[in-house]
Amino acid sequence: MSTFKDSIKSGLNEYYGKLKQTVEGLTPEELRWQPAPESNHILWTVWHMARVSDRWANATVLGGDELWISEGWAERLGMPVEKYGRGETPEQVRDFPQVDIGLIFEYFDKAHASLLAMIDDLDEPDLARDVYAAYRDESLNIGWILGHILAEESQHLGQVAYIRGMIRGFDG
Amino acid sequence: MTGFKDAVKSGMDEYLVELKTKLEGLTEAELYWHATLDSNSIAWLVWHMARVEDGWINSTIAGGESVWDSGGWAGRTGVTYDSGGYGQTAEEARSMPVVDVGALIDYYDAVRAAAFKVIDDMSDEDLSQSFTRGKRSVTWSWILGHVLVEEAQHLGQVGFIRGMIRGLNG
Repeated sequence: MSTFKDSIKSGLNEYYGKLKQTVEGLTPEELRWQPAPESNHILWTVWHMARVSDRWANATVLGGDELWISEGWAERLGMPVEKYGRGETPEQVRDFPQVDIGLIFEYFDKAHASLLAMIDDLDEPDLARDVYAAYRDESLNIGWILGHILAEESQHLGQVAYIRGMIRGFDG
Repeated sequence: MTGFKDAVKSGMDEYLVELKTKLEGLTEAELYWHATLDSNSIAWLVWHMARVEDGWINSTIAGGESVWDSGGWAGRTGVTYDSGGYGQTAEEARSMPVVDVGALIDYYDAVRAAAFKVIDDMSDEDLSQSFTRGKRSVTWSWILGHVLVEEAQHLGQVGFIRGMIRGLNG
């Protein structure tokens, strides 16, 4: 029987599948193209989306370490452990290291799977709980977090699709 | 049992509230700017977002008239497109009449009020119902997740366009 929990999970799988389709075939130049000097590029956006899923699931809700740290992805991608994306300057976005998007997706696959597993383990009463998000210095409701993850990740997907459309046109 | 249903509604609240924030202070020229000939404008995206939510929840799920039709919103907004935007050509998207974006937001608020009534009345059992168009069949459960994903994508595009025009903190 389908449930409202399934709506959240199917939404997450929908955006993630669409993200992979949307970046398919883009060249390294296209992945780093910034339409305006302060715009994010696709490569940075995809990396940031992976960080977002990882942090919400593994640190904020589950109270443990991000996979970024515990599985050594920061090291593999050659970035500082505290690098997350939120609040970065245009210079930091522009100077994002030239990592292979395939490697980012290896990390993202793990982060996405861990997010879905975290949700699988949640029952209705869990959604009434609050957890403390240290990096925002805020107590947040788990139910709110689930809606927010979908809203935030999908926004970034929309941006990636929009940039691709600017580069390649309507059916590109 | 409302936890996951409330999470869905919370995501929907979030993208509509954020949309209104991202529109604040934009001029007509900014609202109707097309970054490229094939790119959508903010005004078009706002109209389309509202039409999409209206279509999926108030028509497809609730089975009734869209708020667009029942509320006479074509006349009230001045947007005379005969579809919700899906499948339009770039030329069609570029030819959206210049209308008051406040009227589009009034329409969206009306859509949202109706949509939340529909969702409030939905039971877990209802979520297994399916909707078929042509070869494609989706459950109501899928539709709710899809609405969140599609609408928030368009919100992200609105934010991105605003950022292109006004810069990081504009």
